[in-house]
Amino acid sequence: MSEIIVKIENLVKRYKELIAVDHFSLEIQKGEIFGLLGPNGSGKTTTINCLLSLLSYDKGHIEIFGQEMRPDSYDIKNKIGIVMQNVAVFEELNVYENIDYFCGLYIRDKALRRQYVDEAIEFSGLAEYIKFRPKKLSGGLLRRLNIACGIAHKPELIILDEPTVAVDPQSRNKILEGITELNKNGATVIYTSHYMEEVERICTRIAIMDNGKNLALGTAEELKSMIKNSETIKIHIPVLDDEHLEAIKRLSHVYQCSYSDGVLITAFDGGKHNLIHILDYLKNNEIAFGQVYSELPTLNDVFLEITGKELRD
Amino acid sequence: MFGHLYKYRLKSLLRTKEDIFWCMFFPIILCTCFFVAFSGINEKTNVFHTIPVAVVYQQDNEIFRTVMDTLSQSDSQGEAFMDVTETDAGNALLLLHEGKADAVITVDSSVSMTVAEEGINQTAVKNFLEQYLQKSAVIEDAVKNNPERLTGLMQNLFSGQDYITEASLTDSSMDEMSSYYFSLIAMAALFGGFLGNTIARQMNANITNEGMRKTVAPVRRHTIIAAEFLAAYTIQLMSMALLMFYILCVLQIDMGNQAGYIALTCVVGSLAGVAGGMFTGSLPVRENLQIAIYLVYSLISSFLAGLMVHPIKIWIEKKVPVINRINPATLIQDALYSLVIYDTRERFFANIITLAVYAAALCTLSCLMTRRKSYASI
Repeated sequence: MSEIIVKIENLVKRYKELIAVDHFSLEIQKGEIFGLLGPNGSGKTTTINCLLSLLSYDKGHIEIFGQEMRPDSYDIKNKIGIVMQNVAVFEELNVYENIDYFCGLYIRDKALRRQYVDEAIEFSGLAEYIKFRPKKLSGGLLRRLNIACGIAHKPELIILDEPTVAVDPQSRNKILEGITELNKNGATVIYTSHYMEEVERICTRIAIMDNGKNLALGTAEELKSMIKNSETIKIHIPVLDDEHLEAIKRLSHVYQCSYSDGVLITAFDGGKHNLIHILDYLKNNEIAFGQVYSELPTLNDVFLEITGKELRD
Repeated sequence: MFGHLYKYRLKSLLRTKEDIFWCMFFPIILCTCFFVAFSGINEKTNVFHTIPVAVVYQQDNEIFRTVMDTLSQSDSQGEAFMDVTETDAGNALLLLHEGKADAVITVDSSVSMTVAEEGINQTAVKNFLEQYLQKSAVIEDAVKNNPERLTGLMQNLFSGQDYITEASLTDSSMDEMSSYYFSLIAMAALFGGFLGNTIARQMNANITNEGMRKTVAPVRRHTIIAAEFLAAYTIQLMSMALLMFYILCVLQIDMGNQAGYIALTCVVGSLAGVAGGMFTGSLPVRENLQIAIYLVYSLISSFLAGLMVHPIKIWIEKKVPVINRINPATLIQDALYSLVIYDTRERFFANIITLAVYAAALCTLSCLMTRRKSYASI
């Protein structure tokens, strides 16, 4: 059985009347990239802040590396790297100095620190910018600096809270590749985001959060298998009478079918070769059709089915 | 760890333009403004220049002419009271309008004066003529019988006589304007609070992101507080040293021979300043509001110490003396003031001890607020 790195039990955090985290429980195993997915305001950052003992909480128990996490748990803190949602660097220090400063809070040996700082600079692709002050960096580079400051000391547990907010696609890709690389090098990663594509791409397990609750937990495939929809097929058909529409609805595994504005949308609850079946029907009945799309369910569909609202709402 | 925190805090504070401006350069700029303004006042009030006058004799008056000749001669300080030009009425008016004469004295059966504008010189000439007319009999007698004593008589007649002797409390020769410089030094000490404010803000996770990152790092809070406070205090002491060098060596303002005590005042005053800033920086309010609170506090404190209007401090001493006992700017200003006024050091040390207690209290409160480890909200 894998070693449990983070254990959250029945966590409750209230802000007066508002329950920000509502009896939230979680276990994260060593070597995972664990995704905490939820819309803005779902309680992800509050959970992370409680986990780090930055926030006091009303109820629950938190363990990291098998020990209770407290504000003065310096041994535990020494093994954690945090990348904040907001960029947390000093405007007055340049790139090198910022990384060196934050790395120095964890690593006392100067020679080792220098080596770590150089590696963090190389890892984050900031070698050309070491003399630059944060104000001179683009949004993407600034995010990379933020990450470099958080991971330079080679932590065993890295917590990244929405690290790609307001980042261009190129920088986002670089950041995601970097996180995967950190994980390959042995770090356990907790990654919070409201971008389902990112979470789906890099996370080995995902918890879906809303209103402070843990709604679903599992791998991306496990989460998708929890919902009825297994495939959605969209076909452009100029003319389709009601008789044919009813016939398509009777095809195997079809549980939802609609036709409007020349587009037929059919949802399937399992089954294989659904696309072939429906195209065969159209050909056999000499019904003309144009573009065809087949979409597998996304985490957004999972979120939609669980909460009744879109993840991006 | 301490050295690492201290080094980087020193570096980042030295590059914080706003704080360095307020702590290091603003007091020097203000000091220069004071110097320029006070130099003007000194010149206008203290420096006497010979008054040019035109005298028109429409009727010969030998006694008056003798008096004018006497007043045209240099006195013991090498400065004559009047520079007399004898001329006709038309030319005299021309000199008056061209500004070459401050007054025209017309001598006929009486003595009268014409001026183009009012001023110190015109008032002096007028006073002289009034004195002359009142004491013409004495002067006439002196001219006729003892002309060699006329110069001495003139000095006695026109210089006035003091019947009360001023006794100084100290041997120090304090410039009256020095109290403004003392208030300015007090303000400069309190402005160290901007540095204290910055370090406190950047230590607290509920105020800044940097504070959040520091809070999750495996470093004890008291180590961070001590290192950062010391860095801010170092820069503040550098600022004060620069200001004192500027006041004493560049502007050459006389503050008596009390360098050690002045330095002690700056050291303790700066401590109170940085501590005050750290306290406001630890308050659980928004970043900009913290800065505003400290700016208002330091300016009001300096105002009450007489930075803008010196008599305010005296007025407070009469009406609400307790304010002067607790206002840090007044304590600094008064410590410096007492150095040059009194020969004993009781009042000086009373001020210094109060300041030290004030600084210690604020430091303790700031630490208690900053060392809080988990926040209710961020």
